[in-house]
Amino acid sequence: MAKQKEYLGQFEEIVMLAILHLGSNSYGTRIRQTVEEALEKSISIGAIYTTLDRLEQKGYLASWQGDATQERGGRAKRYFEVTGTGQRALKNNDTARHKLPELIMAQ
Amino acid sequence: MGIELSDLGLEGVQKVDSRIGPDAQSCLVGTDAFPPVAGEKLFLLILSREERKTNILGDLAEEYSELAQKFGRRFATIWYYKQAAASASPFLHKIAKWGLFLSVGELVRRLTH
Repeated sequence: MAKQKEYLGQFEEIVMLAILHLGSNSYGTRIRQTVEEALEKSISIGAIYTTLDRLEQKGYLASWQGDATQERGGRAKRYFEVTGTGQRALKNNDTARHKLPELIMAQ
Repeated sequence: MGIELSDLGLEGVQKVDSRIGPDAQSCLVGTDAFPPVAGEKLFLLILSREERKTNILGDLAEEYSELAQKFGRRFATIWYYKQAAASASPFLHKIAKWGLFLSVGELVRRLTH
């Protein structure tokens, strides 16, 4: 039996796209600001980290602890990157998004 | 009652200011860019994982400092408490849900005994 394709929720997809956009600078503050700018609405840091944790548990993201900095009062940053599994999930979402209009037009 | 450095994920940081170390303090002196203590305490209540506490408080401190320098401390403080309120929302929903569940359970128990 073929493995079922995995899809992302809307907010999950946006967070992952923000991480891809930020590249090596993907940590909580910048991810939150990027998502907030994209959605044009206020986004809480708690919502971002809840989503990041969930995506990491699913294997779509990997994270590592960076160095502590003065601007953060001596606390470290946690950086994130999209894994291969995460990129496949993004691709599945993109494929479905392009397929649906074709199905509608075919009716 | 004060906050311990360990509460804020700052074990090992040399104690000069009661909340942050000397390097961070020298960076922030004159900027009034410390996040509000009450706000950080609120986040400590609602955050569960130790690691998440350090990361989130660090993120908020960084953005608080940026906003304070751009728009002033008052604006940054309001923003900080808004973040705390928005982040606490799922936690409060959980409490409300369990509170309701326990209340209904207690009511059923009393009606059946």
